[in-house]
Amino acid sequence: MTIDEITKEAASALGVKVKREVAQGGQKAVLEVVASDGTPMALKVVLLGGPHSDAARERAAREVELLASIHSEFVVRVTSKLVELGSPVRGIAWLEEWLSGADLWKTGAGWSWGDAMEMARDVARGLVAFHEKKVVHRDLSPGNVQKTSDGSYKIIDPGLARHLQKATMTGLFQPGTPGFMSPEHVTSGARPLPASDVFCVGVLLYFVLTGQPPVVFNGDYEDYAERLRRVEMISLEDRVASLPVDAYEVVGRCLDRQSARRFIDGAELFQALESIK
Amino acid sequence: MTLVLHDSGRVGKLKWAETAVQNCGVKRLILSPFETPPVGMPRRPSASDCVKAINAVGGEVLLDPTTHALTSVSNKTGIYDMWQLWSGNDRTSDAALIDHVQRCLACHASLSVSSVVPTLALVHPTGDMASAVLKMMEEGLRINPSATVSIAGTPGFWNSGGYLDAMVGEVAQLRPKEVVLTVVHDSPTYPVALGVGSLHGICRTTHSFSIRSLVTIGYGDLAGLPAAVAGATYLGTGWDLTQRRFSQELSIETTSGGGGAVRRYTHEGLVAVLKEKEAQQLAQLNPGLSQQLLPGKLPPDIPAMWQAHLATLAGAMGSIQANASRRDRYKCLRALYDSAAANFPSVIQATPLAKDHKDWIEPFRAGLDAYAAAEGF
Repeated sequence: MTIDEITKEAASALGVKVKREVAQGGQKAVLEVVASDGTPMALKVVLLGGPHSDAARERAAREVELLASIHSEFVVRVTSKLVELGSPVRGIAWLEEWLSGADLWKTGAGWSWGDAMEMARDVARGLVAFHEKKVVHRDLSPGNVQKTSDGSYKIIDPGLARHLQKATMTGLFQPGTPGFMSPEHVTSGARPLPASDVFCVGVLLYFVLTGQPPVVFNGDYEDYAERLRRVEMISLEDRVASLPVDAYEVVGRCLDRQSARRFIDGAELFQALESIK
Repeated sequence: MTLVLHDSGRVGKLKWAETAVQNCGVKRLILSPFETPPVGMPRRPSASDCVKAINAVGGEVLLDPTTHALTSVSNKTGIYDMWQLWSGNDRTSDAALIDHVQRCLACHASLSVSSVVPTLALVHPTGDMASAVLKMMEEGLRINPSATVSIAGTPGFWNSGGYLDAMVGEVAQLRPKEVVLTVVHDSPTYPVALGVGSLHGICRTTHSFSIRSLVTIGYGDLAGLPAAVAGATYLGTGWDLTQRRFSQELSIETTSGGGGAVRRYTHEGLVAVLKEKEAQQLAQLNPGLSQQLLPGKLPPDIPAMWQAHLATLAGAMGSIQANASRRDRYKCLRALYDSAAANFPSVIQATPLAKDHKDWIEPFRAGLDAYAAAEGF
C-alpha cells in the first residue's frame, strides 16, 4: 500500500475531501482537506510497515491522545479520533484544525523584541497547557511553532511529547531537533523537564532575533551535544546590541545551563513576559 | 537568625537551645528521632516538650526523620523505634519508603511542626536510590505542599557535575519552599575534608535552589559558609562535633560522652576552631594575636565556648548576608579567608600541633573560588 492509497482511504474514512498535499516526508503526509460543511482541516497520515512501524504508531497515538486532552488556543486542536486503515492495519490518520500562515522556519529572522516577545508569550501560554498535564513537548523547533494568519502563534506536532510521570526517570539522549534542543536532551541520565521546554523557547527567541540558534548544529552530533551541555554560545548582547535590557534578561534566564535557574515552566515564563509587557 | 541547631543526646540540651534562640542567632531546633523521644524519658524531654519550650522563646522546631543516617549497621534504635516511622523491616522498597514518608509527615502533623520529608544518603544523582528520593519528595509535597525537602549525598554525589544539576532541576520542578542540603561524610573529621568539586557542587546547587526556596546547609558549620555566599539562608550546627558535620555515625551508639569534644575555641579571625590546649598556648605565647583572633577572654566553660562558637558562625553569616549580591558576598568571605590564612603561620608558630590553613581555609577557599569563577564573579 502506498502513501497515496492510504491517503485516499483516510479521507474516505474521515469524511473529508483532499484539497492539496502540504508536506510529505518518509512515512508521513500532511494534506489540506475540507470537511463536508466546508471547514478546512489538516489531514495527517502515517504509513505503517517496516521496522519502525510500532514506534510510529505509538508516537501518532500519543500525539492524538495528547492533543485531544489539551484545550488551548495556543496549541493546535485535534478534531477527530485516530483511525486505523487497512486490514491488517497499514496506516493511521487523524484530523487537526487547519492553520493558515507559516512556521518559524519561513517567517525570517531579525525580528523586533516586541514581535519576538509576542511569539514567546503565545508559546508560553501553549506550554502552560502541556505543563499543567505534566507533559513536556520536547521538540519546540521552528517547524513546530506556527504563526497563523491572525498573527498569533500555535504549538504543533507534540509527537515527541512525554508525560513526566510515565517517562523513565533516567534515560539516554532524548529525541528532538538538533540546534533546538536543551542541555537535558543531551545529558545522559537527565530527562527533559518543563524547564527544558523553557530553554527551547529561549532558543526560539534567539533564533528569531539573530537568525541562528545559540548553539549551532554543524552536522556533528557529539560536538553539538558537548557544546550544548556547556551552553557554549555567543551572548545575545554580542549578537544584537540594540535590544532592551529585558530582552537579554529573559533570553539569558531561559538559556541558563542550570534548569533550576530558568523560568521553571510555561506559566512562570508567561508571567515574566507579562510583567515586562 | 541564621543558624539551626541539630539535635544531640546532650543532657540539658533544651536549656541550651532556649539560650541559643534567645541570645545566639539560632532560629530553629531540628530534632532527630535518634535523640529525642516521642514521650519524655529521664533526662530526655519529649519532642512536644521541646516544641513548647522553643516556641515559647520565639524559635521554631522541626523534626528531621534523619533517614539518611540509617545504614545496615545502625544500632541507635532505642529512641528511634519509639517513633514507629516504618511499618516493617523493609526499608528499601518504593512502597516501604512511601509508607515511611506518610508516617513521618503524620508525626509532624501530630506535633504541629513543619514537615521535613525524609531522604536517603545518595552516592550518585542517578539510579534507583535517586529515583526513590524524588518519589519520596513528590509524596511528601503531595501530602503537604509546604514541606521541606532534603538532599543528602556523599562528597562524590556533590561532585557529579551535570548529573547533579539534572537532579537539582528535577527537584526544583517540585517547587519546594525549603530545601536542606547535607554532605554525608565517610570519615567524621573536623574540619571536614571536602574537595573543590564537591564544594563547588554544593554552592552551585544552593545558588540554583535559592532562587525560589529557602536553603539550609544541614550540619554545615564553618564548612557551610561558602554556601551562604551562594544564597543559603540557614546554617546547621550543634552542641558537639557530631552535629558540626554529618556522618552516618549519628545512627550508631558510641561510648564517648562527647563532653570533651566541645572544649574548643572558635576563633573568628581564623575561621577555625582550636582545641583547648592550643588556644591556651596561643593566648600564653602570643596574647596579642590571640586577642585579635578571639576578642575578649577565652570562654571559661563549655556553655560559653559553645555560645562563642554560635556567635562566630552567626557573625560570619551576618557579614556575608549583609551583601545583597552573590558577587559581593564572595568578596566578603574571600576576604575573611585571606585574612585567616595570613594569620595561621603565627598561630602555628605558637602552637605547632594545631591544624593549619591547609585544613581550615584552603579547601573551602578553593571551592568558593571555583564557584565564583564558574559564575563569572
